[in-house]
Amino acid sequence: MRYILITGFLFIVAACSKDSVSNSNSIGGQNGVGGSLARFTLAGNYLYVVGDAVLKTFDVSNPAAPVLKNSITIGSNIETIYPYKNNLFIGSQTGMFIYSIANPEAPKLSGSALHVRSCDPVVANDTAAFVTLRRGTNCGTPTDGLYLYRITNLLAPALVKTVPLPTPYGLGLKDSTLFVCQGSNGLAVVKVNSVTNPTVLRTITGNDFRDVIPYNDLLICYVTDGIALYDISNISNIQFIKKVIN
Amino acid sequence: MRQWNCLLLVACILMAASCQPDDKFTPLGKVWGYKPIYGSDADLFTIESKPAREVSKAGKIYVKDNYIFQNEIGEGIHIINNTNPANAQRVGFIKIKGSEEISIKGNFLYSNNFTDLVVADISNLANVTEVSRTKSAFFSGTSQLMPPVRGSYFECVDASKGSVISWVKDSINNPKCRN
Repeated sequence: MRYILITGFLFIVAACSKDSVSNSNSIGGQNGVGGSLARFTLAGNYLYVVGDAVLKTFDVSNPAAPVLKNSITIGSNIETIYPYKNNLFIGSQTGMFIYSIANPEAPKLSGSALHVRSCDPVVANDTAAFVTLRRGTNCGTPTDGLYLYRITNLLAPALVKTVPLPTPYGLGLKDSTLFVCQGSNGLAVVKVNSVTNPTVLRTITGNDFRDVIPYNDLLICYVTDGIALYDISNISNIQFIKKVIN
Repeated sequence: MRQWNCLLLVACILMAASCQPDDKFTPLGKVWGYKPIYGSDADLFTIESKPAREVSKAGKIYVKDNYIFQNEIGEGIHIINNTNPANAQRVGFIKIKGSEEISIKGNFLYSNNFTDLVVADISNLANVTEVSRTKSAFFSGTSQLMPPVRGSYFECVDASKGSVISWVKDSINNPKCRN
């Protein structure tokens, strides 16, 4: 217990200092940006991959020749991986796991939040993690919605708020605005300045939304028939740009 | 009933692996499960550039600089030129069978070719080439004779088609095997 506390403390100190691992969700640079449903993610010179039960770490300092460095069993029914600063947020059908990559070659469990069986991608910022839970044939029967966790203490993510939203899939965060895909129920635009008091600003309809990537002023949406693009330079006046489909 | 038992026996011999004998055998209809991929089909492991094609089973997305990449589930990756979003369009396709994932570092794209981790050089999008492959990097099962996820239905292995080198998730009709 003491060891865990000390490790956690050191980790938090490390997390508060300068990032040793570049955030792969940053725009520009060598690495691209993925969505919240991904099982592959890059952070600095490492490629992290989640299988059904395993997290694998590949060194890609030589990007043409990945070298497997680490393989750890982290549970079962793992579905998604999202990098933020020195952490990997891993969504599984049984909960969210936070792995520290302060030592990028050996991810280490720092915290977790278990929940009822469901499908659940995760995104995060400095103080909060946002999780969507959706009931489904393979995913148990929770209440569909957005779950907001305070992660100021990464060792113990605390559920602070639940917003019921129909059929939520992937999600994306731009500053303090969260975009939540709701399948054929549209795309919810949620203000999350306050984790305890999120506000649904509007719901954009007309597409079957599965995942999103906020990219500067552009919102790139994975819709079931291809891609839809929206201009999000002004959150209070989001404009549809173009659909790239058949 | 006797006929079923006979079929089951034949299936088990062909598989040379355990299957759960189950005398219920209620036809399941179409369910999600796994299909074996046989080593004889080299085409399934060839990565190459193809002309832009229609989106049929849209998958995950990825963005790098002026390009958006979208997975065509099980088939490969659409390349979308997004230099001017108002005129974004599909400009090409990278064939990677069994693919569901995308990550890009510099000019190198990472994806899965069934259970292999593959790296492709995308510096010339019109001529994408494979530069490395880690065999079975994502294979999490105990034997290639069984699909990677426990408790899943699968199409029974037919040894006459060669050895199984991978599995692909797909909708399968009335599977008779489950691991």
